[in-house]
Amino acid sequence: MHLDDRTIEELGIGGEREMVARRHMDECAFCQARAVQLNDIRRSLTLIDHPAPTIDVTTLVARARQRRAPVLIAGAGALLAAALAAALPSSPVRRAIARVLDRHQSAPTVPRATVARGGSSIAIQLQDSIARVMFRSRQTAGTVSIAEAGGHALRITQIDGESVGYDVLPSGVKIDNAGSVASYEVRVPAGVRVLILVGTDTVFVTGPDHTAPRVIGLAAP
Amino acid sequence: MSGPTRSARSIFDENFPWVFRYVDRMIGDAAVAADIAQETFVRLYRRREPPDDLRAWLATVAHNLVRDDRRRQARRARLLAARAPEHTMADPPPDPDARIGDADEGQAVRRALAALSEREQRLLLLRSEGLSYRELGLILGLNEASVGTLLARARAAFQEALRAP
Repeated sequence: MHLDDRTIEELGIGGEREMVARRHMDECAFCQARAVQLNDIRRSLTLIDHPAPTIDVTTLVARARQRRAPVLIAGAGALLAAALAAALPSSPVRRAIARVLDRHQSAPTVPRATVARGGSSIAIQLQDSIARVMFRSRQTAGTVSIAEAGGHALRITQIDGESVGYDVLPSGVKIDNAGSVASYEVRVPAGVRVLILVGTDTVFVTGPDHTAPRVIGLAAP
Repeated sequence: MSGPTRSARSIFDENFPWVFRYVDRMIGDAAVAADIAQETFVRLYRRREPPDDLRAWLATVAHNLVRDDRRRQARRARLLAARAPEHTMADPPPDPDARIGDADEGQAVRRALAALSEREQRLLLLRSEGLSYRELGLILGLNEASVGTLLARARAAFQEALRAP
């Protein structure tokens, strides 16, 4: 029985199996050759490396802190301008708002669900092929997974909030948004059942035609 | 404004080199890789607290940024192609002397990497940066046993592509 790649790579780290593995390695030409191969792979990758740039970490931290300020100021400015414009009786903004309100009153009801518990809340809205998942407060339950049953590709777009990592996997979408507030849009192909989990808890399911959305519960933070 | 905390600095010192190297190996452009690696850390510092699995988080965010960059590049290429004049000259035939450059080992490594699937590339590159099977499983949504199997396949495919003429 030969050593597996992981054991060979981790020789030198220590541990219980180290002595046994080392003894085997000393006597096994096959495993010695494999160790050389693994080393060759690592070395060959270094052939395409460029030198790492010198970065001032102070600048990066400052960038991270500054980036929010202009967005907040711009948002506040836009809100103030819109409020002033809407206050004028003959303003086009006021007419536009009225038109939007009229349209919403006559629009069919969109499946939507909101649940809150322990200070954490999530709103989920399904319309046509788009599922919107909106966190209204800092969610602390863990990773959010949006899965479907048909093996179709899901496309995810962050629509607002703090920037977080996400990954599109064959089984669905995983959002690493623990401790943050953000909203997402996920394009779900028609005829696909949608399942949303926060941490390990299923909080939302739909039928295959996106009807009958049902909130099951939200993990308490 | 106060400077970075000691932990922000030590996180950066410990992780920036491998994040940059990972992205650089993925895309082959040091300038873009530097931008993406920096943006990854800007996003980290915008969080109120570091994620539980820091290295897995960094690798995932860096990869998302690589994907975004590739999407932007593809869109730009499409726009340029659409705006190109109708009567463009055909590509010139390959220069026989260019094959001498192909012999360069670095180019061969890049070609071999490009021959792998995206998942194989990520497994191979992240493992070479010392990420554990558990971290690779977290990043790629795999269990540890599958990581070993898929990593072995990725290495075999890489070696085969490297040997290919």
